[in-house]
Amino acid sequence: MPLLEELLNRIRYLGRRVPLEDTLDDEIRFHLETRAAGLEATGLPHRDAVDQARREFGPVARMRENSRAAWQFHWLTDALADLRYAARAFLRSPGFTLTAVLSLALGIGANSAIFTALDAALWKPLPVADPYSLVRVAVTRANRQDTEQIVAGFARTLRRSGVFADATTVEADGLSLAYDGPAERMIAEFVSPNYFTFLGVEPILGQAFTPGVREGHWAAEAVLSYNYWKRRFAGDPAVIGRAIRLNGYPFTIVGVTPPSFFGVTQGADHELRIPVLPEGQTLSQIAELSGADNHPSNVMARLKPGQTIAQAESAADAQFQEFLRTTTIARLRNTGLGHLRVRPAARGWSADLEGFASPLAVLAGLVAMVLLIACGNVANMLLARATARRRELAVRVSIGAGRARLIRQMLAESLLLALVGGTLGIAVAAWVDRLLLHFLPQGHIRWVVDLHPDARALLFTAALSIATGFLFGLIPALQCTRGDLAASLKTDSSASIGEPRGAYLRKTLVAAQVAFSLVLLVVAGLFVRTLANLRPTDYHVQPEQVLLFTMKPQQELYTPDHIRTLTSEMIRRVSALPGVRTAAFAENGPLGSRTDWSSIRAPGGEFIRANDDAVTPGFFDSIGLPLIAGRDFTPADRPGAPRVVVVNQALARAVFADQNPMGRILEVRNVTEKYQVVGVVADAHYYQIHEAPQPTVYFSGMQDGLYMPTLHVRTGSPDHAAVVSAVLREFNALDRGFPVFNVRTFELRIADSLARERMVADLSAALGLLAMTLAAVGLYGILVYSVSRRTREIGLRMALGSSGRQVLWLVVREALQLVAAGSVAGLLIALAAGRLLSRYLYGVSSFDPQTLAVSAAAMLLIAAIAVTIPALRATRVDPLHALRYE
Amino acid sequence: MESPQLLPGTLYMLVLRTLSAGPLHGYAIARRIKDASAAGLEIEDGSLYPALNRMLVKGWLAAEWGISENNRKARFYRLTPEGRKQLRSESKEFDRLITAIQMVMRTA
Repeated sequence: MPLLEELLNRIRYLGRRVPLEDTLDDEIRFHLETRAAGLEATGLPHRDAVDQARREFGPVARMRENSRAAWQFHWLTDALADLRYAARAFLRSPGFTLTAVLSLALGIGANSAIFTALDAALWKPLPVADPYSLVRVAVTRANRQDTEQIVAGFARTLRRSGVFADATTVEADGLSLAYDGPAERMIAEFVSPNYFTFLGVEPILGQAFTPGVREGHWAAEAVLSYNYWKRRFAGDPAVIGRAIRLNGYPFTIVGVTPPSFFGVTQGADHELRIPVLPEGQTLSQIAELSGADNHPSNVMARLKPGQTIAQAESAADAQFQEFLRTTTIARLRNTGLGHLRVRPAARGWSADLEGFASPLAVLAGLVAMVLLIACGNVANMLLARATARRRELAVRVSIGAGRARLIRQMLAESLLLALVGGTLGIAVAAWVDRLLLHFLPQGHIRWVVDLHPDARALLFTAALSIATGFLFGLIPALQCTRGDLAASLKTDSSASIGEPRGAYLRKTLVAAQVAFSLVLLVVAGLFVRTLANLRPTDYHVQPEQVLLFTMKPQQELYTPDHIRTLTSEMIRRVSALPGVRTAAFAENGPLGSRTDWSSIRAPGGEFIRANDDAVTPGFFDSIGLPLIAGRDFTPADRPGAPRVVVVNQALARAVFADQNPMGRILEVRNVTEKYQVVGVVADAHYYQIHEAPQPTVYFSGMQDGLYMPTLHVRTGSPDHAAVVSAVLREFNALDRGFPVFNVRTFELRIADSLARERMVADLSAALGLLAMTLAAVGLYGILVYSVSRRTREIGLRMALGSSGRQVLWLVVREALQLVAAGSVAGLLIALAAGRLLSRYLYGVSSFDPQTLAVSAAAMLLIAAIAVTIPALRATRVDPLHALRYE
Repeated sequence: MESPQLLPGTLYMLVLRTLSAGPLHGYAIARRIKDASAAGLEIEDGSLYPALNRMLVKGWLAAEWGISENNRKARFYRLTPEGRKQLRSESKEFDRLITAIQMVMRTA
């Protein structure tokens, strides 16, 4: 590889200790002196000998220059010179530079932010060793979705079988943590002892389970996640060895995982990890730690080097079929379990985050459009500059610069702009990503997504900046180096009448900007209307006046009777608080992060699928659901009393058709008791905000029991903070052994259930405004430029009797033409875009005249503002001055 | 009378050829080329050095400091195996070129 060798030699030159210059000087001196000495020896006088030696040698400076050049990277030094030149040129016109860099920074930053979010939602692998060799195990089931709940007995068989390089089991659930105060909510991951070694995760503090635990000798050890350690323990290194209680059982903190590690579930960052018990052992305080053969959890495995998924799958399935044949777990025999499936798991479990992929993809399209508009703007400004710089370019051509050289110089300028814009864009992206995180809905399990710019995001930003630089730089560079540049030295461009060179291109660019911003405005309008249409109107209550508190008395520590007593007592105490109108519990409540459903039928009828919830007396009033017929639950609906339910109108219709539902009997699949309907409430979007109200059945929470109920407190007072702290005080006074968490208003819950729609609507509205502003700046720029070029023409017209109004019309007409052309194109594209987006729209047609009209009006308004200054400037042209000018 | 111009690229070949007998310093190379061509080739001594540096970059030559015949510190250049290979291929190419030119001159 001669080229490679040359490159290495050159690099060695860069790193050499003795500078080439010194070597050269020594050589030259030696040469000249030896030659002179030789000449002197033939009888020449010393002075003449020296002179002749120098003559024969030739110009020393050129020789030194050429020798040095042999070693250097021409293109690199030339590029640096181009960039230096470009930087100086930009510093001379700060207004232009600032506008260009800012619009590019916003455009590139927005794109980079959406990329980071999409990357997190779809592509980025787990931050563990060799993520691409990881797989997950699932089992097919007859007539049902595949399950990833694998019983421990088979997980152990699989691990021993040697089908995979290794395997680990994972399961997560909430626990009560007691450290130095009342019980706190936290999510623990229950993992096999080889979890950390399997993933190749090294702790930053302590150990990721002590060697004894990793070898299978169980001990009550906990490894904290980095963020939990920072948040709960203030990053104190002395936590290692300290005791915490999980569901009352003492554990020792042995380590902290590194900040890059978020576990194997995308969108979550579980607070700590504890090892599951060995085969056959159980712990009464924490059911999930069970080592019983029939205890289910998720299985992640690692392929052997060179092993394909298909090979692993057939080997593992053979093991599974053998296990099914021989297992003593009777439950597994008759549940229709089919075959074992092996799936790639470089991203671990990420189904929840993937729901954000399509709204983010829509946003990616919109931000790309904004970047195009920004590019159009900068290209236009560069074109205007280049026209003004034709003399400079002509001079450079006349002293020998080729066209390629000029194009390279102009591309260097646009790349510099794009790179500075991209660098600022990183800050913009970080800001936009923080904004995006606000839209993450929060429920009983915290959502955590890391959107810090990583190497992938930076690489994307750099590549995008360079591509952008070429995109907006190439056309101006080609356009203004075309034709006979030298001729422009002779003509006086500023006095010419009519269309200047490249004017058509510039006008097209502005019209395109208008068109694209109109598209963005229309799309934003459609999304804003969709969001408004989705807001539920079935709850006759001010949603911000309903306060929610979730409590989780661990079933290992609290009996159903105990929970019943606690919840009744809480309702009694909170109802007595000042400012509280109603207080009631619901197992899930409307529009939260948890849902339930049952199969319901009238005796002898068909089963239908219905939402279900378990609620206490007063619940319907607390969320403003009107009672249509019958009665609400009462404290008398308790265990031992006849089983009763309240249903909504949709369920009554679906099960009893047009008969009166009151007093009718309902059957629930897999439940032997029968239920009597005692009340009917109004329909509501209860769990599914995007669908029409579904049939819903409400059980009595006091009768059927509550597991992780949420207290719904309807207040009459606007001072929420006082009510919140009073309620929390009551919880604390009642019992400090269970956590109370997820404290928020119903309003926030509604907002969270519309998180995707809010994200798209809010961001597209912001992008629409940004695009409109960019287009206005573009329009303003081209009009100012056109007026200044036509100063002489306008002066002439005024001298010949044109009125100010006629001159005004001259400028306004030019603007109108551009805006009209752009708007027509924009409306056409918007119609096409609307059809493409129709599956994201709700209650609004993609051809919505109102949205189209408002968007077009907004575009016209901003165009009018952009026109005002240049138009007024045109009317103030002094004919005498204009004609004498130049 | 004008001296014959050097064909492009031949300076490399001349230097390679000169060094094939053994290492020499820059001044000696310039002398040898001039002497061998009976002063017929008029090149500026200085233009030899950029060529030497380019050949160092290409890896055809290596250079190190040594003591000259007049007991002074001088930079000696020698052929690398790479340079020897280059000399062989260049002289073959050159012979072919000369033969071709001669054939054309004879028949024309």
